[in-house]
Amino acid sequence: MSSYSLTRQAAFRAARAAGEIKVWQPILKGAAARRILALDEDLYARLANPWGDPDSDLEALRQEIMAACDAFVNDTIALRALFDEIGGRLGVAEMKILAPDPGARIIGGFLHETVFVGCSLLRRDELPYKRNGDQTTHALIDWETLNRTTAKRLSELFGEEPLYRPLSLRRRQP
Amino acid sequence: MTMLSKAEVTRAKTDTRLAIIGAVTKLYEYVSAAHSLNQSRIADRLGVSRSHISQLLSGPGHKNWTLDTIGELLAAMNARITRLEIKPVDEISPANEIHPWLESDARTVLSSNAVTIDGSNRPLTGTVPSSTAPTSSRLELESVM
Repeated sequence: MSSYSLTRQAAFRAARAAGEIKVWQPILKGAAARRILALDEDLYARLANPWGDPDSDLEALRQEIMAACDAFVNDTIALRALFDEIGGRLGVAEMKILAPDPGARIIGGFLHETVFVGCSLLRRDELPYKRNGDQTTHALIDWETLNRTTAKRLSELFGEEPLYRPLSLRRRQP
Repeated sequence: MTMLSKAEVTRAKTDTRLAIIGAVTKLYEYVSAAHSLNQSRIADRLGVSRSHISQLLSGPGHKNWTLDTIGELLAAMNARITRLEIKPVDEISPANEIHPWLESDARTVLSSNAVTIDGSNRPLTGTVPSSTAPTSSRLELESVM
């Protein structure tokens, strides 16, 4: 293991020990927990509690998100099918929850090929893109702010070294 | 009998979609690395556009995924399903493979869940027995190239 990943590993452990991130424990146990999904403390708490009545659309969306989290940890799906890189050289990436339309995105970054840290969760229609790829004017946040604040949060937690950028991810230019 | 909630059904549907489409996406990773089979060649073999294949392989939520889509992609990648394992949820064994960054957690769990055979408080040490490992993943695809 390189000294780079050892440094990141130490920073990861420190952030966990301080309670700033929490490691996602899959509800559906897979054959192997080959990857780590860590979530910002607030995001973890948001996902861990029901979003409404079990028959509501919101709770169904939460189940979709949790299933995607489990699939990542259990390594049942290729990274490319679950993530896009949205932050260019910053290395910020989004985990895609594509259904039910419009789905949702967990925004964060990779510390290692197998370790993703999610900082925020947004419904797709809260993000500044439309089906045709154009930017919308009604989004809660613009891409530049989203990428910058995510990169800043990750550097606060894990240091200034660049985030890991898996080669297989689509480099989507917002 | 109690009717399942929308959340329960959604979860099962998503797990199923992610398992099956996930296995196809992982197969594509393998054949593209091992056999240089890229999306353009898959598209050519199926007589569809490369962007259609790209869209399929980059999203399990894509509405165009059907059982026939899976069969077509497997044909283009010269692959077949060789094993399909479906289990009741409460019979799925927990993972016994631990990510290296979480190995200290595993030691803590083993120590705090210590079981003694002789009635003493002596902590149990050792590794998780391999017999607890599931015998297969949920879906196995094999390239026949």
